[in-house]
Amino acid sequence: MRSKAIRGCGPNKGRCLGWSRASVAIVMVPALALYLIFSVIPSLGTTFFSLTDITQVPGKAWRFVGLDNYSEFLLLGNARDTRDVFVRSLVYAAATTILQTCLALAAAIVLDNRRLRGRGLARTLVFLPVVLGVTVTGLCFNLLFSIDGPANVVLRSLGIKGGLLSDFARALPSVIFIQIWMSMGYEMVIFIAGLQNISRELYEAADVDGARARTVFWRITLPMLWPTVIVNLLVCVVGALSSFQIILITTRGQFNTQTLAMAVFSEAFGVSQQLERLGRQGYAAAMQMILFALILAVTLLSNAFTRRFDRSEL
Amino acid sequence: MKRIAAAAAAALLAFAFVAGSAAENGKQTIKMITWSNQPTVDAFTSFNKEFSAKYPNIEVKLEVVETNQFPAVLATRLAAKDVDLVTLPSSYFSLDQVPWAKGQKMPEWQSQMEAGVFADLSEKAFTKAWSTGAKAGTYKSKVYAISTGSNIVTGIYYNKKIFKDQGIAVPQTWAELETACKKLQAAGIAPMTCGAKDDWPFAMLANFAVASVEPDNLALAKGLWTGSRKFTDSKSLLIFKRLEELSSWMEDGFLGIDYGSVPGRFMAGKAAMLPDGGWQAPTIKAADLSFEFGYFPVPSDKPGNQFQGKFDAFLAVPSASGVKSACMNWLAMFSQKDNYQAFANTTGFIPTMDGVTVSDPFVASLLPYVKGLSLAWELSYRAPTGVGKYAEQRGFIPVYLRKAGGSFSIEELAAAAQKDFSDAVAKLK
Repeated sequence: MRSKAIRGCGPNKGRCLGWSRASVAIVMVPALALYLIFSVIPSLGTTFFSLTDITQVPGKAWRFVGLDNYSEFLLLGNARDTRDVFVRSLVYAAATTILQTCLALAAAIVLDNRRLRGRGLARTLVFLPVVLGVTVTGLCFNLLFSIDGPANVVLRSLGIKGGLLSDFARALPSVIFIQIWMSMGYEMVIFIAGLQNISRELYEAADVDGARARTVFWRITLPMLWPTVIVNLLVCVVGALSSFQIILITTRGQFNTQTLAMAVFSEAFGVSQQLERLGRQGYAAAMQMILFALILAVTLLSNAFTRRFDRSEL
Repeated sequence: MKRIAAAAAAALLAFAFVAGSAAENGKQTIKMITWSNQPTVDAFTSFNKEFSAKYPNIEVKLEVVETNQFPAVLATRLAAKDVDLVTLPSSYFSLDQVPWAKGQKMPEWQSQMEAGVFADLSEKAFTKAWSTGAKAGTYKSKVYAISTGSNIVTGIYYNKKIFKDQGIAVPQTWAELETACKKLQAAGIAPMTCGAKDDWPFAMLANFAVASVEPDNLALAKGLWTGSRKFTDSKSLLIFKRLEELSSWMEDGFLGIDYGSVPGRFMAGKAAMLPDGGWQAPTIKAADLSFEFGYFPVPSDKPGNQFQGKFDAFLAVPSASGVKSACMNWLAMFSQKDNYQAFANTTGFIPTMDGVTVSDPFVASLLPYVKGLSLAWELSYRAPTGVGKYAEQRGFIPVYLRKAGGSFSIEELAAAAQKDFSDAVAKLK
């Protein structure tokens, strides 16, 4: 049987780099199947279940409830608490994204300096938390910030009472700090890759012209690195808005650290801070859809902003 | 190649034959789950050995789940039909729908009973052995579970040595408790400790504050719905005041202490008292037999306040279990007085079966204070659906008070709780 040619694959019709169209389709099947099974179908399922009253109660018949879950979250729930969760999610995402990107960029620039001794070790140390993973990092910080932990010993010696993860004013900044510490290395590596793609001739020319370090950064490094910055910003903002793991391990959403993603997890799996209860998956699915809308809105806004900035400033 | 294929086929056939033979031999396995309370786990493990000795063809596999994860794991295992015998927490068979709490949703446990998730035990002879255990697990006149014991909620552990050294007698009234705490603070000793990092141990203090003020928990819960009581009335303000006092007696940084480290801190003398449930006693005793401690009911304005508590650790058999008759044998044997007596003495639960001799001197000392054990506040209060955070769960929430690390005075928190409660009730109407 003869396969159809793939367009743009040269004069040898039906083949591209030795692959027929059918072969290409066949090797794509596993990846497409995985994408369908683990991404598309669950997403459609979440949309569907958000319109039902399905819970963790086994055997309990569930029914179609229309938009009841959405109205319960947005209208029946306490307006102040709902607003607080949204605001907290945005603060968490903004703080994480901005600080993490700035710090990762700074670390990348410093550690890309070929004259710096021990930069390989320094890069490894900054990247290490990424390898540790959320659970290990969370448990380490739980110990570090515990009542008898070193952080609190230092605070007490300075006359500051209360803990870091157990204080209404300090818990959210502490969780943001942990999130940044944990993820910064990943972003730094992407920045280093971007930096290494910038032609050295540009820096040599700037050097000949006597440009200062600040001018070099704003006129050469940042413009050339801008596509990488945009990618990192988007990945970071989406990751921060949908992140709940570090909050779950460190504070379980207590002390004003409940973000929308954490609230979704709590509702879906019955993670109650005070009384035993079972998850309401239909309701959680509706919350997840609202979170999805928020992430989509933030992503589109970020895209629009960065494009505009791209055109006007660079 | 053919030889290899033939050998593989023969091996598969042999395996299938052996597996089939095992099933025919009637070897059964009961999959049982419970949460991580060590005395309970020890007691079940010990009983399971005796059970397997009597029924050699039945093996009981006990799985212990982290307490915080238990509700989710329980639900998952029930949905997967992958469990045969379960322990249900104290939130079951309580806070059911009542006519005065209009618009309230049916609690999940009630949905489970309605959906027939658990087998009906009403006709089983062993249920007759339980004086209060079977009644506690009854829904709509059918027994679905057996409570293996009741637990005290509103008690305070005290370090006998510290009390003796400081010349403090066991407080009989709230005023005496205040005096004792002030004396301890003056001596540089933290009066109390609490595992507030896990939130619920601190939130649980609402039970203590309400028990020290209210003679009838259900009347207060109902009054909040009907409007005859408010979070802002004088008696409720006194409850908030007592919560604030309890918070001010805690050791520094108690909001960062996890529940697991609380017994160790109490025994190390970092605090003189520990407001906690009766379930903590076996852990303290097991850690150090020589440690001397006592337990007294949270006092009210007059002497003679009783303990309040809850029924706990209900045993139930999922309807979907494939080894239901084996589970019924297990329950029947567990319901025999001698077996239950050993269990109760290991766990330190207040027995839910008449005629059980309590050998543990600590539990025996509590018995005069638990006759007709009334239910704690958390089993009476119905928070309206969608209620704001200042009136959710147990209603009187200490963590928002200024002295506990929050930002509210007593009056401000009372007003916030009342507003959240009223707003939610109004929306439900």
